[in-house]
Amino acid sequence: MKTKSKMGMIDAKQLMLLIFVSRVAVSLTNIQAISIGEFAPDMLISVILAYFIVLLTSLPIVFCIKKNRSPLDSKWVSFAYSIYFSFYTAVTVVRFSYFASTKMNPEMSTEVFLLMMSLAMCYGAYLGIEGIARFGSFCAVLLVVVMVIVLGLNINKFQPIYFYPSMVNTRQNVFYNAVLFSSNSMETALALALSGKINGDCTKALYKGISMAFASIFLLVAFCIGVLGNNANLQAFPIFSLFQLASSEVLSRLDIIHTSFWILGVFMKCSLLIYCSSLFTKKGSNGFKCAAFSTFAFLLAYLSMKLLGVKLLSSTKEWFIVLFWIFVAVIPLISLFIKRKKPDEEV
Amino acid sequence: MSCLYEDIELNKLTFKEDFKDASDFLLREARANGNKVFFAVMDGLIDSLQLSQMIVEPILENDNIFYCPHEQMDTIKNSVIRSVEMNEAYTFEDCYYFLASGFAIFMVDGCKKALALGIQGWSRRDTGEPANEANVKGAKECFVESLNDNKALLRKRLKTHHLKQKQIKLGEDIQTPVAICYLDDRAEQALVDDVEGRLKKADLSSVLDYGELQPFLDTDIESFFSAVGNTERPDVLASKLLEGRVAVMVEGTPFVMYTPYLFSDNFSALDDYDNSPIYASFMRCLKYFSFIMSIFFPGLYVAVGTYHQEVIPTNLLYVIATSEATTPFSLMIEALLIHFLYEIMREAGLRLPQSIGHAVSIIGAIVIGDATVSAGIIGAPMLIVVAVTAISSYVIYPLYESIAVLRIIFIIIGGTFGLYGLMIGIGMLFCNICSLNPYGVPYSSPISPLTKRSLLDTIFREGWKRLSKRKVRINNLEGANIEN
Repeated sequence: MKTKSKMGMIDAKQLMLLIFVSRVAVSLTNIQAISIGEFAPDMLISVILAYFIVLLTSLPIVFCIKKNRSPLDSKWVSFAYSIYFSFYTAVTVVRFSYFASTKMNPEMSTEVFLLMMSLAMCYGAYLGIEGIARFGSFCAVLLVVVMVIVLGLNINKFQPIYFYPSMVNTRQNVFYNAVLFSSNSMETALALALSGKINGDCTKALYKGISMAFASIFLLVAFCIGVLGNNANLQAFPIFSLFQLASSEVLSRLDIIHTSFWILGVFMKCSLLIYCSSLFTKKGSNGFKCAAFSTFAFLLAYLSMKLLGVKLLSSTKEWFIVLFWIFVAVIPLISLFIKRKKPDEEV
Repeated sequence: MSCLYEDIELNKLTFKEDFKDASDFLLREARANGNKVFFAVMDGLIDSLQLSQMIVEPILENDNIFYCPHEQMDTIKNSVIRSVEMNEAYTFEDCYYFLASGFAIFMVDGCKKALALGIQGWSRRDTGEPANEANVKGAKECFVESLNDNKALLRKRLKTHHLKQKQIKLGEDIQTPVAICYLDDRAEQALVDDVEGRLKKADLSSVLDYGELQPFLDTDIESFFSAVGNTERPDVLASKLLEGRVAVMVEGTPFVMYTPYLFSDNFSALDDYDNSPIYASFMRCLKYFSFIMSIFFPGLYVAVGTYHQEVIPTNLLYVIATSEATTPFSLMIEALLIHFLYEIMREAGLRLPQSIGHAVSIIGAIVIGDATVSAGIIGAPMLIVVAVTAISSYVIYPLYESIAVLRIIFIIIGGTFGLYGLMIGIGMLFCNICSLNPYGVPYSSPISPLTKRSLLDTIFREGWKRLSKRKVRINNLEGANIEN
């Protein structure tokens, strides 16, 4: 039976697509400098392992949603989540601005891209979850089309020989990369934040979205290895290099067009993160909250770019892992065991 | 509101005073059944033959004897006058409103009320082919400036008692009749109430055109796109009402507004349903493509030509580079310049008399099409881009106003920030479209959220055998929640 829609809420299917786009969008800017060891066939094992780690770590959040015991009921915890989402936005924006200024438009500085994305995500978040979710569905379709085209145009360059030897990195490195990949999947925390805004089964949508995203990433990584071979190691952005190789007779450089569609996904992800950041603050208008968190994310991104420069992406990876475990696993797990009195509960 | 007097002399004086220097106001005094009476009409708004044959003659020739003026009034009302449309008025304001609407006012001495008798007879425009919504195979009938005629045209199409045409008056100083039309078995009552409430809250001293009411019916989110549609075709309006929408007719305008209006409505035309499904689907796809082209193509061309030349195939790049090498301006300036010129000429051609309008077109074609390229001011490829864009924008004419402005914005974004900026701009635009929720119905519906059965008539147009089974209502769309 069709669930009656409510204003300000979204469908479970839309959440699924939001999670899919949010996770896949950052894969384009997945850079070599972050992972450990070589870009070899064992990277696929890391992706599979990462998938299972994400599923495992999502269990506390799933139970929190099922038992209606959200850690976000606490003012300070929800504030911490807001900061986490803003931090993640800053990192995503920095990654993409760095990518755009090096690969797409070298004539323009990273700061300009940073500012543009910040303004855009502020506006996107201001428009609310319904707009973001509907736009997310468009992005999902576009990303799938782009992936199909990229993989389709590269299929004749695919060399199975590149998959041998299958194990190049040490087991420790494979596992570390898996943990690293999983730490990029903070969509479970997003699902927790959005659980009150969903018409339908939130957890099913979460699992479907994550599964779809990891399946796509698996395919992209597999093609990177199968098409680029050892050259993948030399590329700063291996998946982007795969895009660059996808060409037709008429247009030799389709990568710019493919990447352009990818930007829509990044914009959607950043808007969603800022929306989730502003969700738990009671004071101030919606516009003010979105502007405040966007400014915070912009300043964070700008300062870290100024202080750390290109090193930012590699030096924050440990932070990424720690924050991922804290916000996706530890805090929800603790909240499951601590029985807190809800404001509307009778004494 | 000042009430009518019992004394006919006082009423007559008030009428004469209020309509002093109004040369079209006519007042005829008479004696009927031994009592003083008067008729008042506005010249040009009534049918003189009807006035004399249906009202004046029967009243004056009536020889009944009455004991009180009220009895006289009631008898005249019930058995003497032959006019079908009849109202009672108790205030001067009501009388004046009826007078201005083509009614004759009849008053009897000693009675505190007047009879307003409908004998409208002003000159009317023919309900011929609509000027702005031309079609090849459909009906050649359009709405006109008279509200009553428009209501009749709609009633002629929807022969059901479920069609409601509730009439209200809007405007503080000059009251304009406005009709809210809907099918009570299809439209949600909450939607009807919401529309009526918004209209009544419209703080306007006068309503002369439908455009004045449109912002009050539109969504609160600022957007380039409107959630209120308009049509001058009764058949189109009938189909919209059948989908559970609500229409608003305003006296004095041939355009009828209807709401909720969805983004996909811009891409459907009446001819789609007369053509074969394959051709209609092809045309729909072409319209969506034209929309993308007309908004983004100049911006994309500027962005690619300025920052991402590697995307352009070598041969084409050579042609563009050769052409642009001689021009003094950057691609962005060229694009802006030629678009402004084009818009100026379009506006000039639109406002001028038709004979001079052609001259503007010829001058424009010669000046822009030939001289600027020969003089090396504008590159020929840019001219082609603008021409393709301009023609594309006419394919989806309901969106022309939005497209014209957005195109300029995207040229600036593309020329300043390249593809990255352009895509962010596109993201913001689409997010804005998706966030609109007119009356609780997603503006981007049925594409997102996806309503499968409505897709049969959105991007593609299925055959009637399947379309007739879909039973789509605006309130059945995925994500719709029409509530007050």
